[in-house]
Amino acid sequence: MEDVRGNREIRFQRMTGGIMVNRIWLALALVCVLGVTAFAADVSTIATDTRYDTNDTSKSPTGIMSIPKNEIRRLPDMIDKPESQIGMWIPMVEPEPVVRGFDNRIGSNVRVYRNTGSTKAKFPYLIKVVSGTDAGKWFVYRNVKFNWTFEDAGDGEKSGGTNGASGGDVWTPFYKASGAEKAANYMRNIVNGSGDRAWDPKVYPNNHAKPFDSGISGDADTRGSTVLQEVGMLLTYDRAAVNPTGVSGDGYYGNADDSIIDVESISTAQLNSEPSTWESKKLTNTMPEGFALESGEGGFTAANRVYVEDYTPPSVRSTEVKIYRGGTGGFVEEVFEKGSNTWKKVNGIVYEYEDDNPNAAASSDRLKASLNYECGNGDLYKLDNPYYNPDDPTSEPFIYFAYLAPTYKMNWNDGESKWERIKLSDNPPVYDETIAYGPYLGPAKKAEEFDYYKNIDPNWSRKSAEEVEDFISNRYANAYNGKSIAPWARGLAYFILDERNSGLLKIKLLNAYINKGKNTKNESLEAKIPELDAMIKEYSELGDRGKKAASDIAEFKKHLQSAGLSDYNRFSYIEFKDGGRYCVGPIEFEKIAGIYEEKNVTDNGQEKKIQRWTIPGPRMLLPKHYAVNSTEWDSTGGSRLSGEQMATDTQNFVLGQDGKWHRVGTAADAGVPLELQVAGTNSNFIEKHGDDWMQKVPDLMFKVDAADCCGNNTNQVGFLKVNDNGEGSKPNCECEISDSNGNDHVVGVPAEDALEYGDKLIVKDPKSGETSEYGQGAYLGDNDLTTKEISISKHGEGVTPPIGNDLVTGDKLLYEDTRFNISAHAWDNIDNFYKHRGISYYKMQIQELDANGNPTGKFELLEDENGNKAEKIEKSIFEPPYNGSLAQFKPDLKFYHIFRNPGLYRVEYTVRDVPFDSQPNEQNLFFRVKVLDLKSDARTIEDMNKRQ
Amino acid sequence: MRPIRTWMVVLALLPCLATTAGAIMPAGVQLEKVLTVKDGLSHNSVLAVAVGPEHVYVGTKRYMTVLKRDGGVTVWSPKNSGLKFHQVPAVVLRGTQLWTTCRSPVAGGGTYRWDGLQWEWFEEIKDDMQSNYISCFHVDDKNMLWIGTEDQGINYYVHETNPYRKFGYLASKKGLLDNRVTCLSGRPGELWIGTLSGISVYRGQEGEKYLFTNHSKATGLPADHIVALAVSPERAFAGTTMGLLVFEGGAWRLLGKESGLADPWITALALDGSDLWIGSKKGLQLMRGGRIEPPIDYRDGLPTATIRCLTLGRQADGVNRVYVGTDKGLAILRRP
Repeated sequence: MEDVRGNREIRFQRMTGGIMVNRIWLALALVCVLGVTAFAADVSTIATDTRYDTNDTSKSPTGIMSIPKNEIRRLPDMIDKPESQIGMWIPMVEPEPVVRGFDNRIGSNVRVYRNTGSTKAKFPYLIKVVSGTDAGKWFVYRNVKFNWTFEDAGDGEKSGGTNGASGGDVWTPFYKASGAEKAANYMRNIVNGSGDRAWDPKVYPNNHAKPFDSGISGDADTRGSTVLQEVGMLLTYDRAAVNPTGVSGDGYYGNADDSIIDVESISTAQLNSEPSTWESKKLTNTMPEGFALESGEGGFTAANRVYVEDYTPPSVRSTEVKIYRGGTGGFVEEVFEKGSNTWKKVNGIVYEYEDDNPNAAASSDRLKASLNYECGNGDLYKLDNPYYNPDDPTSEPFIYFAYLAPTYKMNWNDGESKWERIKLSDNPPVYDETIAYGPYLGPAKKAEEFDYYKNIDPNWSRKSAEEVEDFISNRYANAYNGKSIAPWARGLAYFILDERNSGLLKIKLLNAYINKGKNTKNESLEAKIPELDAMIKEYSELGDRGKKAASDIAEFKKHLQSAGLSDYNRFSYIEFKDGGRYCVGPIEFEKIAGIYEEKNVTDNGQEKKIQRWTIPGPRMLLPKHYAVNSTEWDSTGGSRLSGEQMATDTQNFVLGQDGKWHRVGTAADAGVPLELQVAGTNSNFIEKHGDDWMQKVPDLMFKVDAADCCGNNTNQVGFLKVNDNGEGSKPNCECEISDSNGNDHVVGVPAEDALEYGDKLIVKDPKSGETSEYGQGAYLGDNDLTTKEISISKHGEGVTPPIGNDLVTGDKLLYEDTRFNISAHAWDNIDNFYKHRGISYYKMQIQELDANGNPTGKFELLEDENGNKAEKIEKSIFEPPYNGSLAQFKPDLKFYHIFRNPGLYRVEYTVRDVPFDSQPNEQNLFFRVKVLDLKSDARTIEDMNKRQ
Repeated sequence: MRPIRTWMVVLALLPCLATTAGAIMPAGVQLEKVLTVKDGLSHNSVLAVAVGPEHVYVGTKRYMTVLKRDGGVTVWSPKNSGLKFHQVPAVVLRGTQLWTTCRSPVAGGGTYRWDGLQWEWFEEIKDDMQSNYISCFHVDDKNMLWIGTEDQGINYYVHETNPYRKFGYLASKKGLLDNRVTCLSGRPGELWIGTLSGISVYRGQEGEKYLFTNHSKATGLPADHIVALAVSPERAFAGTTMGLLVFEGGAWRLLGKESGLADPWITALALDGSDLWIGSKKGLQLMRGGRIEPPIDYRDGLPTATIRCLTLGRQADGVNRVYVGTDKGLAILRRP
């Protein structure tokens, strides 16, 4: 298995995907990491209600507080400036015995006098104690310092702040509380570097650059963070007893806001000489439970804990844009390795990023990731509209949808580096039918497609509305029949496509039921999604179409109930996107073993958290009808453009410091689409790459979004290549022979999507008698009906005669000298909706066979549309007159032919699809016809069955 | 004489034609016009409408269309507005401010404010928003803006009174029934929140306690997938996927087809005095005097029967109108 991790030094154990493989160690991953909180105060053991705001004002009237209270965030209008994450710290305590608490009132145990003596500059206020221990004494104070200590303080850009002191040069018992109303203005002054930094000298502004934010889960608010920053304040001061003179009045106590009270009216006293005896004091108190910060001075006067918001998005570890690939109708299996220029097997897509917040908790509600990816525009299906009302001009007979078939439960085979179905028994081989992911589906919208192609698409927008309309009509006329899909999956389609509310919402309802991580109470399907029963009842009253839909929805309900709950959000929505493609997602990932993993590492002394999301390959369902050989925009520009240039370009994308994708070595914005950008810009992928970029890029884009514990987002884009090598990748073809009387016969092996669900192909070797049975899409051989017999086993209706056999055995007869109209049609699994129908080449020959049915090497002369006669009619898109212009290529062949001699002939019809990078897929439709001579009594193809 | 007889026949047939053509419009209600892309609407699928004294703002699947009082039409797209993505699923007016959101199939676009001069964009986390995936707005009687998100609860705009935060939030951790918010409504002192698990009624904060009254299946709510709310001081209705919930005497009653609903799967509600407009996939109905009238649909001139959104409004001309958003255009009804 290829290791898709960007940094190999950090060794994770191999992950192989949730339900697919269970590894016990994975289950422990999250648990282990929760214990790693290296240096921030771990408050997880402290009752949530008491974690921050440790000052219970009812018990402790004094203490410290911050503005903003308890939560330190950046200023809303300076959100891009880390320096605006400021806490204004305020002491609500004064030197003893003065009491100024959270109510900002000076306690009645003292009286404040205004000093009018000669020392008033140093001691503007004198304190007289009127009750308590020192009743009757007078005090003055100097060197009053509120010493602030912050957890993880330092000089670094990511420190918890700067320790220091507030208090000013001269002490007063007052604090200008009303100034706090303009605190934000002072914060702005600090950021801008001009103006006052605080409204009162006791206020201490601190820049909290380091986050203390583990994310929050459960029913808690920010105090639910398991780490909070500890802040301590130690009040130190010198106090001296004095004996003032000239005392007048009773002194002051009460409101301590000196901007509100009239300080000039405060009673006066005089102190005319400085005291000589000073007592140095520090006020220490018991710290709250679990408080670990130390002052180095023997304790703190007061303490608090604060939540400090984390604004830093995690960094993607591997910034190169990777390209993954898989086969049509399959899933992601390989990744392109630039170093060796080779494709390597891979079990899935890994998305890894670093968070500089090592305290990030996996349990945080915010930590999450999701995936969106494009699935092209070719997997368009239709079903009868149960609500079709011929009287309503706005009603349509069909409902159309984009559909990706589900994948089964699989195991990752480490030795062979591949995902394998789980085999329940060998003979006969029986596989586990449990579905792991999917189907993914969503509505196809003609109107939105028209809007896009007419107004935005680089090529179609240049054409007339009629041409676009014709193109859209062609797409929908050729939509694949939904009858090829299992009834339960059709039921899902009916449920989602009934858009009385958004299909996306219904997908969420389904996942809320089926994901056991969400349906924690194991509620019944009826309780979680009562709409299913309501729709079954409603549809069953709508006539035949409705009854069929009701039956399918009932099958879907049964399927859900029998499948049981899953570990995953199994279903996903598909929507038409502005880029002209249908898009899957968002697929929300689960925080479970095998999907999410994290680990703390130390890098240059800095502890970081590495977080990794794994998307198992089988979760990325790939389209069946869209691949790298798709022309997508129906090029009319001559030779078909290669996808290689864009593939190269994508590998040169790097994520810049600005969070946007750039090309290597340039500052130019790479033009990644808006929805794929990390940050919003006006860039537009189509514009930046030129109008025809999509023609060069039949790759599909994907994006993984992930958020750290605190909701900071980052993302990674990459590309998907879908190779046309999966089930049903050979082109399909059929041949029709008719005469002038309207008798005709069609020979062709039905394409996978033309079979109804449950139908099988029976392929028999007439020589050995060996018979093989193939489910839909499983037959990968050619259609040479002269060497094998192919029949259809209709689900519950027996087996049809071998295809084309009646043209030899006598049910259908051809006669010599009769003018036959022979038409041959071909279409590929890719680009079937375009006029060239994904075909690049066809050849028609009719070879004479001997009496034993062996080729003779003699070919009938065939006359093409220009009247040229040759032994073959052959057209290739790469030759004149097309010269690579797909739009002009007509894959249908029509010609007239008269067999001049009776006998056995072999019609040889060969078609090839549009190649990409390698040889095209080719299909041969060979079948025999028996031509009778003129003496027979009828000169038409006659259906013996009819005559009977 | 012949022409007169012909006219008499035509006149005699008119009532019959009206009857066979569809439902009879409720008394005093007239279809004023239907707007589609041919009339300048940016997209036929109308998702939300906000009516101001001068302009009508129409959120569609592709861009926002502004219908001006003088008949002019402007389309706001990512190229000429602050909107980042194409779909505009919710819009509301708060005084002179327009609040809206946008999204693409793969991304939520956050919240946007247009103050008449410039756009301001509010993002998840960065601006205190819970989510970039916005489902609905509501402006209450105190002019507070409430923002419902698809799966992260509710935000409310506080920056005008709180310099440190732009938005406050309500979520399940504070007592909200479910963070998957689908619709909002309110009456003085109460915010009604529709979710996929029922209805939360929020009455503000008392100290640190959030005052929620939750109506869920556990408390007897007959259907809990709420998709529309219409609340006034006198009455409360909730549209669900299973019928219309009516709140009477402190209890909920579920009305279904038997009560005259064309389709129990409600898609939109709008209170119109003592009447209630009901939108569904099967047309527009009026509940008047407790009776649900027959649906108005394409036979009555609506572009389709599928109703996406309903908004009532009165512009400077003093005419009361019902704006009916459908999949195929915007229908505007005049009402007394």
